[in-house]
Amino acid sequence: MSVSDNPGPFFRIEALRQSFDGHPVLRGVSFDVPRGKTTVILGGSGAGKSVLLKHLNGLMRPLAGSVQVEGNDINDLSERDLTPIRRQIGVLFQDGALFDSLTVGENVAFPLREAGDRNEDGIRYRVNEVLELVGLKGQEWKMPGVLSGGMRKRVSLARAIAGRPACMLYDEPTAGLDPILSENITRLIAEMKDELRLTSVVVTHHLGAMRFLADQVLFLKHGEVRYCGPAAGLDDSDDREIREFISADAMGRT
Amino acid sequence: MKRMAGYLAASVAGPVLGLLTYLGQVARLLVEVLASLLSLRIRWRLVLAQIVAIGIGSQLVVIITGAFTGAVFAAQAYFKFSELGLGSATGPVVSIAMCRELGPVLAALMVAGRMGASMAAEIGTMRVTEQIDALRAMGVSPLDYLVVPRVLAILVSMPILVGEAILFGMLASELLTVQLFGVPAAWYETQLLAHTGVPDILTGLIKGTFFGGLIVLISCHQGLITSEGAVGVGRATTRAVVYSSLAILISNLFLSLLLNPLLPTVTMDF
Ligand SMILES: Nc1ncnc2c1ncn2[C@@H]1O[C@H](COP(=O)(O)OP(=O)(O)OP(=O)(O)O)[C@@H](O)[C@H]1O
Ligand SMILES: [Mg+2]
Repeated sequence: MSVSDNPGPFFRIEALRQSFDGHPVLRGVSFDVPRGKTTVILGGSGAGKSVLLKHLNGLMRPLAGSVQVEGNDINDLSERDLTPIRRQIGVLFQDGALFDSLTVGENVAFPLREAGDRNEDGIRYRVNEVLELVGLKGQEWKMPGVLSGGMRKRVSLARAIAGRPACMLYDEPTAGLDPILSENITRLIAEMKDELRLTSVVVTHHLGAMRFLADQVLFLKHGEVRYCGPAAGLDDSDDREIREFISADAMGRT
Repeated sequence: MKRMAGYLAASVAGPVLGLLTYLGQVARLLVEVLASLLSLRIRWRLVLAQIVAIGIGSQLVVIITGAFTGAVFAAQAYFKFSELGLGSATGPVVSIAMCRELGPVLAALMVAGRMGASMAAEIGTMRVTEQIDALRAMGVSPLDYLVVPRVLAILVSMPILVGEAILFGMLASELLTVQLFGVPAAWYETQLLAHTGVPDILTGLIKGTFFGGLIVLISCHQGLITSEGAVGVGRATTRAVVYSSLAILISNLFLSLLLNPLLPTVTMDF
């Protein structure tokens, strides 16, 4: 059976545990990320969202528990064996993680070249195309060091989607952007999901974006899943922290 | 008494264990680098860029280091030797010292200060800003992309740099003794060249290349294990330079003991 006909979830996370210097950060996290849907991860600062995201493509290895990608357990795979899996998962890192020795254009072209694309015209076309999508047309000669925080983030988004991955992991895609850009990026994420049937995992603090994007919401607190289900169910939750999170956001938007 | 022995054992065991773990990690990096080299996934464009940074960028420092060391060594040797009536030994002693010890060690220390620091800082910054994770996320091995090109570049550059340090050390020693002490140039040159053999130069080049390997492994390792932001990058940089320098000085003794019997000095009687 080819991977794309696989009917199961894209990711299956079971009893995931991780700790740093004896401090537990993930304490038995389990959930599925359905194929072609958007899963939004909410949670306070330091809840372990970025750490969780890094387990999904094997950048971090769990202390216990397992991560399955398309039905394959990735825990025991070597870095080299993980390569084909990682190439179909695009990642937008929280702080961009642009290569600052390369220009914007080279950054965006990087995953294409690494995947073995040798057609320079095709690469240039694709680089322009994705830079335009994130509103940065004509910026490919700049160095990352001279970009603003929001621009870096959008270049990073362009780089992550350039290789047309089957799945995208977004770590706070709209943090640090002005409201208009933030809305554009949120729409872009939604469009890519609709048109390309992209499986998406979005970490965000932005409840508006969450309601717009989420097919499923995960609320993380102290490394535990407090809620996993549709966005609407969040409002009816009687978990004190979830209620606080939602009401604090309502105040923040006045 | 027993308790004191316990404390002592504990206070010794900690650092020893730490040292062994550290050596293990560096050895593992070496094995991974060799495996990557053998698999021939070499990025020649990056190797070239690193040769420019290491080889060409270090020319001036290494030449100045070699020249001034050769000159000052010649001056001190000449002062003492001429007093003892052994003025003709100055050239040969400078040659041996520059070829076998000072050339490779000082060139390597300069490269450790320049390149070891910059490698640790660059890779360390990439590490704390998640650029290394980004590489991995795109299926690129940081080892192939960052470490192997630097290893190859330093292995190519070091023999050349050491050769230059030796050459300029000898030239400067001649310039000084001839110009300042009035030693006849032809005589100095004959003495110096007669006591400079292929084994001497080979010793210097072998040592230099070995030191280059130490610098690149130690510095890349520090970069790759960097944590805790800018403070961590600073710490990695300092450690890269200090550990590389210590490794050079310590291994130099053992290399001398090992290489001298294999590549003995030439003795020619005039
Ligand atoms: N490499 C690491 N080494 C040690 N501790 C770490 C590491 N990465 C994360 N942590 C710790 O794990 C915890 C969770 O971090 P994480 O980055 O996942 O938070 P987060 O939920 O993404 O927060 P934010 O919304 O602020 O980005 C934090 O306490 C952090 O200090
Ligand atoms: Mg985070």
